[in-house]
Amino acid sequence: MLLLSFLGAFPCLAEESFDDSYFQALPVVLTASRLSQPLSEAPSAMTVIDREMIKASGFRSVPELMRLVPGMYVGFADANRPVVSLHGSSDEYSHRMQILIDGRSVYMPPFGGVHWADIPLMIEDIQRIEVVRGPSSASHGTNSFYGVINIITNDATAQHGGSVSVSRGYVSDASARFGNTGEQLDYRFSVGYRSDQGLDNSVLNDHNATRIFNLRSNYHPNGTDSFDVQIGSSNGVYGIGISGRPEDAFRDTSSQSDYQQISWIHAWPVSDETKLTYSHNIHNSLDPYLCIDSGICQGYYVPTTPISQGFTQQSVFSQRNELEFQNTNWLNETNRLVWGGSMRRDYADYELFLGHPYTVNSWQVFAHDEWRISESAILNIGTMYEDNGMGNRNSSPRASINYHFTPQHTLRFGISTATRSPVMSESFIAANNTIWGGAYVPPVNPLVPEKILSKEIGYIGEFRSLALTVDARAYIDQVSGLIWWDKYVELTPSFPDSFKNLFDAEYRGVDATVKYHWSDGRSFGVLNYAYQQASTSLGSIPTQYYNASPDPLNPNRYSSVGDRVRQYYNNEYVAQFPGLVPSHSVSVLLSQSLLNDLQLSAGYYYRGRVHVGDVGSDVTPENTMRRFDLRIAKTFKFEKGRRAEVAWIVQNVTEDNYTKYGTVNAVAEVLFTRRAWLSATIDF
Amino acid sequence: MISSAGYTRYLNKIPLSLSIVILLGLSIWTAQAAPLRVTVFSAQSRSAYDQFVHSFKGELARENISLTLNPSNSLSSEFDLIVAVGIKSASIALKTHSPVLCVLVSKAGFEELLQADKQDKRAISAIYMDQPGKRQIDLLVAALPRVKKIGLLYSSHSPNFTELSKAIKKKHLILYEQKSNSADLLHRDLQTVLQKSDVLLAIPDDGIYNSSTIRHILMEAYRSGTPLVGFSPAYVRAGALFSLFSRPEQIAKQASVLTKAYFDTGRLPAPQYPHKFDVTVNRQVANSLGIQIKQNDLLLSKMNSAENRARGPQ
Repeated sequence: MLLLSFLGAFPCLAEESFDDSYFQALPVVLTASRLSQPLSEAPSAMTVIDREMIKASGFRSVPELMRLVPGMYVGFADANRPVVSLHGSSDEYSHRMQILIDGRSVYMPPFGGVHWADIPLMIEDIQRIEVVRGPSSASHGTNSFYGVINIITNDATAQHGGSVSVSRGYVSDASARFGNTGEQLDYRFSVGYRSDQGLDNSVLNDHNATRIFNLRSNYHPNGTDSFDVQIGSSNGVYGIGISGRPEDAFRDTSSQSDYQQISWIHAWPVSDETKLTYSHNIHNSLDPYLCIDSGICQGYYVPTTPISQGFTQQSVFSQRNELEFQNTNWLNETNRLVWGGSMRRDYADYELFLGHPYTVNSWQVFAHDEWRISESAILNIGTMYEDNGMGNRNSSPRASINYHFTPQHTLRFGISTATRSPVMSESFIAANNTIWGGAYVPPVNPLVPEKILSKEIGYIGEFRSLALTVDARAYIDQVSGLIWWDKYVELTPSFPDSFKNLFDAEYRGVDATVKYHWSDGRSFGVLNYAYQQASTSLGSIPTQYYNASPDPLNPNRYSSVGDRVRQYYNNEYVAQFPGLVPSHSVSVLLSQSLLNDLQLSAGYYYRGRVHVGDVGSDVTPENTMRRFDLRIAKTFKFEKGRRAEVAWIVQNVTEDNYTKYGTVNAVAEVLFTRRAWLSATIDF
Repeated sequence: MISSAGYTRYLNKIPLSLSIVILLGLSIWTAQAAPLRVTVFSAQSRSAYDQFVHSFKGELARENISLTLNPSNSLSSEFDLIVAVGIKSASIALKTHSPVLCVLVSKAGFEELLQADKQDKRAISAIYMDQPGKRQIDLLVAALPRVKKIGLLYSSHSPNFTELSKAIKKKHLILYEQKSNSADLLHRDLQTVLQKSDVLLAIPDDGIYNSSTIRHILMEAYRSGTPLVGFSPAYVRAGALFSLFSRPEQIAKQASVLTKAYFDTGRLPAPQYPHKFDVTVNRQVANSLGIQIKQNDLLLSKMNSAENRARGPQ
């Protein structure tokens, strides 16, 4: 009896543990912002690149992975300067894409583009990439113009124990990661080094070495609140320069990039959620020897002007602070509203070009409702209203309907708009800037945001029993007020270039993705195809168009100044524009699992001929690319679940060397050749 | 397990003459339909227990039953029937000599308590919180008809799941069971089981599923695109695809039926599973995983009709 009462007093009886399980209060883990939308319910065309695709592709950077997105242009000015954009080739900064990492916008304030090489992100830490192939400001914020690359990194719970990886061959990469989960705190961190010699060092100085550090942790003191903290940093040395061009001497640039981000997520009853995020980015780059006057750099004025006077040091510092508030509310069983707002402060110090530092304070509010009208129809309707901090306010509405004819077959009709605000380097060029010998001047008329209207019809077939998905669509995107170099420099040497809302453009296309899994999901194949067309017309006619005075330079060829201007725009811009997009592009990725521990993957990438944007018609275009990549991996399993993998990666196996992105012929004619490396990973 | 009404037992201890007098008195008393002295004993405070007590009280309001509520840590006097709410109450109630009906207890927990005294001859019964294995698998098949491989992760603390595995085999589904021996290996074991199954079926095993591991398990399952099926409403809110469970009100109704029957017959039936149940679905998770689950009520009616068919005409 005494024993019994003692047992009775014992706080945790064995039998109580089963019962406790039934009543246990659990944290709200899969909150709205952690869940991704299925393809068949997404309001826009979307490509998801998941871990299995990342691994099978053998790619080691996000830009290369973008080859797996139908219609995405991927080019390399050199190994350090990838150019990634929908709707074909662009200038080096591809301003018209929104790039998000865990919701944090990483395009740089001064240029609007992304410096892909030094983003503090390791490919192994990416969980998936969702690429929205169309404007999506209502969901992804400002600048979601041609599309959005939304990178979602592994959650703090994803890494258990340690992992070390080393690659040698064409590349010299190494990384180590560690993570753990606990009752209130989960964390993972990774350190890495990524380096290669670039494309062809006899022509290009594009060797690179980047060091990266990342920490992500999640603190969840109770069942309804969690704090996600991310810190990351990278610094790197990047070669730049073209052989035979003194104004582009071989030299090393360096850059440093840091970010901090903290999100507080609170789960309300009935799946409602509030998320508050603060993020901070800084980016600092240094070019020690930039030519600012090609005449001096090339030695034309020697000995009167020392060559060194043609060069200077270029430093660009940019900083972004952003505070975002987002709420998810279930208005009723069938209506989910996501609404919120953000404030952003962009600061850039780029003395050489902008003269003095600039700060742009912008804000935006957004609302987006997902309404399940019936079991088979979903209406997505939303808008974003923004103040771009440069004197413009715009709204970007969007509506789409997804209709499931059967659970397998879905049709999507969508209409979507977005704006792209001019970036600092377009709007704020200093009148007395010295860069490139002062070849560029501030815009004559203030720049206004570019606008896009996209109409599309899509089909999604999800055949789960066959493990097959089909995703196809046709679209027309109409763009107005494209900001482009207004080239009246070509007319009179004293008139340099400046930016202007110059063109209207139209893009039409059809694209499709088929994904199929077999051998119990361990093998898969993805096929992407895109057909694209582009055309343009002058949106705002330059005043010189009507200039009837005789052409001062070549009166025999041009009947008037206006005639010269017309011919110039027609030949150099309007006629070249369709060449910016490849008519056909294809990517295929196959991954076959063999004998349980071998994985054989093959990638095939085809892209039709492309002409680089913003350059003269005499620059060598990028010829047709037909590239075949291979990856063979063997897994070794040890006791206690430890495992290792050795992989051999060969890119461009068939040596079908192709020309690359380039704004001058010396660069445009560099070939992408075959390369290979061996990589080993141990998880412990 | 089934025995005559409790109060006759104590008569043995009283001298015969007195017994006759008392019996006589009692028979007159019962002829006037003396109320059954029932106490609802709840040694622990939990909202589910409170809900049960509230509903049970409501169910028996108009019956000739003298219902007392005992939200304390001990039982001072004897009753005709103790309705013990929760496992802690059950363990205390079973130490008395009164008949006990245990509710909101797990099958494993209750059976473990009974091990202590197998010779106990008084009326003891229970309504489990557990759902019968067959019901769980029927629901799984009705909700996820494409699922073929069911993953089950368990530890050395796990309750017995033979009934569940039998039900799985009967439906010609494949069970992939993976034992996880330590917290260090949970991640790898979880990955293995997720890789090999179409759905992960959670069981009340706190060696695997507890408040510090559930975040990791749900995230990992979601990452691999494998839904987790839970066994309580909390699981659905946390991020499980759906849960099958009985609400305290449903158990209270069943308990009141047993109490009334006990009043009439002096017998308690064998421990039983709850008859009525609910299914809640996390629509957000279902949508995100691209799983379409028929409306709850449709699903429930389908399952209920299946169970009725199985039971045959009553």
